[in-house]
Formats: sequence, structure tokens, C-alpha cells
Amino acid sequence: MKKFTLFLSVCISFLVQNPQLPEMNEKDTGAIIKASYLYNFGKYVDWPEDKKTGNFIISVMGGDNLYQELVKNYNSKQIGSQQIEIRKLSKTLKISECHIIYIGTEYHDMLPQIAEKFKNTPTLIVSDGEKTIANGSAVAFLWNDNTWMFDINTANAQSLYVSLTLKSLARKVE
Amino acid sequence: MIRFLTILICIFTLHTLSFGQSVDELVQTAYSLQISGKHDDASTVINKAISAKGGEKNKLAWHVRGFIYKDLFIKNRAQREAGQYRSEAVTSFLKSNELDKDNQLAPQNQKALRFLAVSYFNDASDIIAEHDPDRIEKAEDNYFKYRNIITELNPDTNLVNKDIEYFLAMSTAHRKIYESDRETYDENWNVSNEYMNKVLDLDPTSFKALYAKGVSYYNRGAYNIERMPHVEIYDLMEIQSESMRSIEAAFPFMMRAYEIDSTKVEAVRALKIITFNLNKEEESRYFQDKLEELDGNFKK
Repeated sequence: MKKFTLFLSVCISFLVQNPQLPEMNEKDTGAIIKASYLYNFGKYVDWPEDKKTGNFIISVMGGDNLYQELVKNYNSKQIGSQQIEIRKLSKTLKISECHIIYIGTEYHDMLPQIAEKFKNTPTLIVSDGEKTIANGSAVAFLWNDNTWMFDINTANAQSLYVSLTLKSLARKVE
Repeated sequence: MIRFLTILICIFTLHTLSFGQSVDELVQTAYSLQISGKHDDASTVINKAISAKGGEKNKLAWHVRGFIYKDLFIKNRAQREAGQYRSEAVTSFLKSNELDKDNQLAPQNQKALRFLAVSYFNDASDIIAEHDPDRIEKAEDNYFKYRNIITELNPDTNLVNKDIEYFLAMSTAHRKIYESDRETYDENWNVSNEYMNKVLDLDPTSFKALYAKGVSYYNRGAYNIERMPHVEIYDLMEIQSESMRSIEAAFPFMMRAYEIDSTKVEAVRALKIITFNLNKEEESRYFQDKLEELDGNFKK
């Protein structure tokens, strides 16, 4: 009864019962989007038959958030019959064979050497910024009209078959 | 059998008591029943009083009726009919107040009305705190009943701050309902923002409303992107486009909040996150530096 009297004697502040400032859900949405693109590149690019067995390897040099995202959501998932394996690379040219290699902006200086290393091999080189196409990337992510898009340079992916679907969705295909 | 007879005697006594009595006598009878705790019987008699000739204009009859229904409301607080009793009590006290030209009963009427108004306010507050999607709209009804009584008692009362507090709380409640199941309660996201708009109509410089709107747009976009893994590339592009528009929409609200109070860590951190996700590296770095200036805990 006492509680009831107290309850009715004063207005309970809405503020007391409802904290007003909402929490910001801090995310690197760019990393999430790029990870999803990389997964889709695996589906819309055709690798030679001898690369269709074993794990489907995605190597990541730089781009820590992207790497974390790939590990969290795609490691052990399938592309076709292949299980996805995510590998983190340090700054090195001793890179094992892989299906896709992503080079983050912090390692762009290494891009020409990496491109040279993988020249004429069935490895899709992906990087950030349209200028990287000139340095050997087959696919370059770029920020266009407030969305993450990509350009394709088929000359840098000569050992691979890039599907028409993927080309049709690219901002630019060279 | 004995119980049946007792009821019959009571009915007969009541009928005898009330039949042919004047309004004043009926009021007196109702009051006696009331103080002896027979609220239901008291309500029957007092309703006869106000239906009798002259009863409708009798300020004391309405006054006593108000207390009878107020007690019925308190006694049946947890029951379904409590709302009806409270509503009858309010109507009675207001009517008594209206008829009370010489202010004889006004202090007691007004005290009782304030009590009932507060009960409406607190019910609204409790409903809001429940975050129950099936009940949340009842808070609106309760709050506006509180509001109507207060303005009826004193038309000059400034309720802007209370309204802001209420709209903010409703916005928070709808946002939490949305966050509990974003698919099912997607509409609550819009409702939450509509309440923020009401706050901004009353106070365009409300930091809380501007900040909350910014977070609301950003979180919606970020959430939609976060649930993307394994989607087909067509869906990826569509979801991304829509989500980024939402994140972009967050920016002006958060910027305005920051302009209003640039010392608030929350706003600076939010701007750092929003600009980062809009790929505005320089701006994001700027807000990171600001954040470190304001709070060393945010050092990279």
C-alpha cells in the first residue's frame, strides 16, 4: 500500500525509466561490403579445372577489418564444392598460390611486384582505388556516389574467365 | 439460501433508502455508504442522485461521485474496469469544479484531479518502460489524459518540457521495439523518428533528438549491411545502396547536434564513425583528433 501511495504521489520521470541516448553500432561497413564482394567474385569468376579442387584460398595483405570480416563470416563456407580458407599475409613477396589476393591500401607500393609475381597465373588480384588497375589489379574497389563499386581490368586476369554478370555490374571494364 | 436472503434484504434496504429521496438525501446516503467502504452501493446511489431532478446541477453530488469513483479506481487498480472508474472520477470532479462558482469545493476537487492526472502520467511511464509493441499506444492515451487534466486545471500551464520528455521516451520505446525484432517491427523505426520530429518541432535545438535521429539512421544502415553475408551480388548492390543512403542521412542530424554542443563526446564519436563509413577519411581523422582532445580514453 505504501508503495502504491508513493507511486501515485509524484510523476515518475520518463527519463528515469528510459535512457535517452541510443548506442551507436560502430561498424566498418566498407569492410563488410568488400568481404561480400570478394565472396561473390569467387562465384562469378571461373578458375581453371586444376584450381577447382582443394580449398578456395583468399589471401589478405593489409585491410585488417576486411580480414576479420572474412574470417568471421566466410571462413569454412563453400564456393562450389570448395571450402573457403582465409589467409592473412604480412608484407612479403613469398606468397603461396591462392585464388584471390586482396592488397590493402597500406601495401599498395607492393602491388606492381605482386602483380608481376602472379602474372599469367589464375589468381585474381583485388585492390582499392581505380589507379591500382594500372599497377596490376584485376579488380579495384572504388567509392562512387556513396557506394562501394568496382572496376575490372580483364588484361590483368588473363588466366581467368570473368563472367558477363560480373562485368555487367562493374562500373568500368577495360 | 441465507446469502440469497441477505442480498435481497440489502437490495430492498437500498431501494427503500433511495426511493423518493431528494438529491441531497441521496448524496448523504451515498456518502455514508462510501465511508463505510460500500463503494459499489455508493456508486449506485450517487448515480441516482445525479439522474434525479436537479442532480445534474448539484456540485456536491458530482464531488461525492468523484470520490466514490476515485476509491473504486484505487480498489480495483489491477482490474480491467479501473480505467472506467478513473475516467468517471475525472468527469465528476471536472463537473463539480465547473458548477462550483464560489470555489467551495475547488481545492479538494483540484487535489483529487491532480492525483488522478499523476496516475495517468505514471501509467504512461510504466507502459513506455515495458517496450511492449501491443501496449505501447496506450501510453499515448494515458499521457494525453494527464495533459488534458492539467491544462483543464490551469490553462496557462507550460507543458512543453513534459511533452518533449514524453516524445523522447516514446521514441526510445519504439526504437527498442524495432531493435528487438527489426523484421517484424520495422514500422516502429518510422514511428520512433516521427516522435523525434515532434521533439524537434518543439525544440529545434534538442541535442538528444538530433543525436538520436543521427544514430537511428546510421544504425539502420549499418544493420542492413551487417546482415549481408552470403547474399547474391545483385542484392548486395541494392542493399548497399539503400543502407548507404541511410548512413548519409545520419550525417546532417549528427552535425547539427555537434554544432549545438561540440563538447559532447557521443556526438564527436558518432561523427567519426559516420564519416568513416562514408569514406570521408580526412573528416573522420578530424573527429578522431577531436575525440582524443575531449577524452584521452579514445586515443588510438
